[in-house]
Amino acid sequence: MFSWKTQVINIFTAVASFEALFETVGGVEQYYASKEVTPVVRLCFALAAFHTAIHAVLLLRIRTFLTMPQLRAICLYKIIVNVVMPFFWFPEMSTAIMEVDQRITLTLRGVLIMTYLFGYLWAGKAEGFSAILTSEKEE
Amino acid sequence: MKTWYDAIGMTPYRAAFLHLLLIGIPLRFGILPTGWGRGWLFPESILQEPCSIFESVRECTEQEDFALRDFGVRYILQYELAWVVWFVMRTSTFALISFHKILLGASFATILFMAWLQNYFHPAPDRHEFDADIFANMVFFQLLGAALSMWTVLTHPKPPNEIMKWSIPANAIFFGSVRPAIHSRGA
Repeated sequence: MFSWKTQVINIFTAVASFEALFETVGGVEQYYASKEVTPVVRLCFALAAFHTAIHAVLLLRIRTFLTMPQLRAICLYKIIVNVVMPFFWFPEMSTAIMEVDQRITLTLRGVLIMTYLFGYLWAGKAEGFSAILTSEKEE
Repeated sequence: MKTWYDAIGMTPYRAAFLHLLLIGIPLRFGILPTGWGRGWLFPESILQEPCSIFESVRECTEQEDFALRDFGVRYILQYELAWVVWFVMRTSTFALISFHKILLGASFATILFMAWLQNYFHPAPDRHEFDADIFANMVFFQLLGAALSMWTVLTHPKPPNEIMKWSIPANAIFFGSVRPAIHSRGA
């Protein structure tokens, strides 16, 4: 339900960011329109990559300690956050400073929202299947 | 035997609350407020200057302000998700213990990462003296939270091995949907 595939996207993003930090040419500056990358920008870039990685780990492990109704609540919450946030501010949407392909970010955003929507619709609908998997008798 | 943990009325649920609170305190006064962009909702008179986390208060370039807010938004998104997860799980002690393990890992990883950052950005950028208090507070509060979580993990029972399955999804399905009664036993 709570798809690990979106976390693969998160992990790829974090790994690409970490790699960009260590490249001397064509590293962090390829993400920004003005090519001057100061130490502050590099610091923030590293911190953002780190928190993307932590976020992915938390969401990957979330299935081990949340029940299906709880996962459903989290999915609803994530849908609301992802739909409401663009009205305030989204970093990758400001074209003046970041140099990223808008089509790619829009696609990723769409995949995220659709995944959480499907998670919300389907969570808790697999009890019969899980009973087969665990082969436990109900009392 | 009554420990200090019980004496102050601590439970795994409250310990997770405290840990989340502790790791948020240094960021509240430094990096956290920089996550919100200025606009009609947060005018400049209310919101701090993102560059105020640096000792020599000066104007950042537009790109540096942007990078600071970018990190702030990512941090806020991760931090509030942890709060929602904490809020959602009230009943299950076993589940709270695994949440404490993730908190422990995140805290220690943050301390390691901060230590690495200090070496990586050494010497400090000349015009941007990073506020040393933020690093010191961060390590102190993360260690405090980690100690709390470690005590919780060590003193509370973990699920016995014979009811654990050898795969994460199987465990999730088993503990999540098939036998919810198992959660409330330890609480």
